[in-house]
Amino acid sequence: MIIVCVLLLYSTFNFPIAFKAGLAKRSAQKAEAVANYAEAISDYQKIFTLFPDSEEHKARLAICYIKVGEIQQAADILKKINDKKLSKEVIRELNALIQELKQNQ
Amino acid sequence: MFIPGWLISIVTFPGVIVHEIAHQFFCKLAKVAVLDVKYFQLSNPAGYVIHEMPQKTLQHLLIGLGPLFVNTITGAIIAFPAILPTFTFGTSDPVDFILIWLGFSIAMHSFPSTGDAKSIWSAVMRPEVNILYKIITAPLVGLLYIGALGSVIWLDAIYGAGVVIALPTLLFG
Repeated sequence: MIIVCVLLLYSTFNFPIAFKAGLAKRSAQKAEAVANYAEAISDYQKIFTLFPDSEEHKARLAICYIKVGEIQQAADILKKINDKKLSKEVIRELNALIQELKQNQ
Repeated sequence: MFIPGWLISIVTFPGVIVHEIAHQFFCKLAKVAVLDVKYFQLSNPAGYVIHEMPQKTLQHLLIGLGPLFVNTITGAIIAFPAILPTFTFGTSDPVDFILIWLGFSIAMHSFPSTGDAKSIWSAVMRPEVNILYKIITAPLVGLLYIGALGSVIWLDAIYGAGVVIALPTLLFG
């Protein structure tokens, strides 16, 4: 019973963190859907602060940086990403964006 | 798939304990004397609370329905901070899996047992109970009865998974 109480306390402490990250994720998805990348960046940064190992969301942050033309910021993030943990969809999107950038140069 | 009830009780024992604590808590809240409590045992039933006969229908409902709310809310709160890192952010650690197991175990035991459901049903169906009260509470109690009986087809596990995994994933996934 003591263990259950300790874990309940631990969860209660971590509840707001997960809740904030969940809200930020929903908000980021909505902002990206309407091409409001500045807001999406702000939301993904919140997720990045709370869950720094979430590779998928780091990649989404990089995608948003590319879309607003902050290529250096995107490159800095992409250097640190473990691409094995990324979904095929995000890899495809990133590759398409990088290809587009190369063509524009 | 058939898995013996005692094995399910052992694997999800925290849920049984929280369920009985909830019964005991609501007995005290309803001012109904508790005569005996067994939080967990390796026989059928896995846990029980024996209390004096409540005088009012509301007391019956409180004691019978208490675990539904306590186990659902406790299970959801315990598992939530582990569900998002595991299923949404892909950053889970071993503690998260312990929290998910604990939350699921607790939420799975939210439904009243068939004994609890029978007791609530007979309390609501007494002739002296107001007809309006019966109309309001009977469908809810009927649902609980179905939930209690539904453990045969894993309804309790489906409910536990729904509360702990499906709900947060649908909201934030």
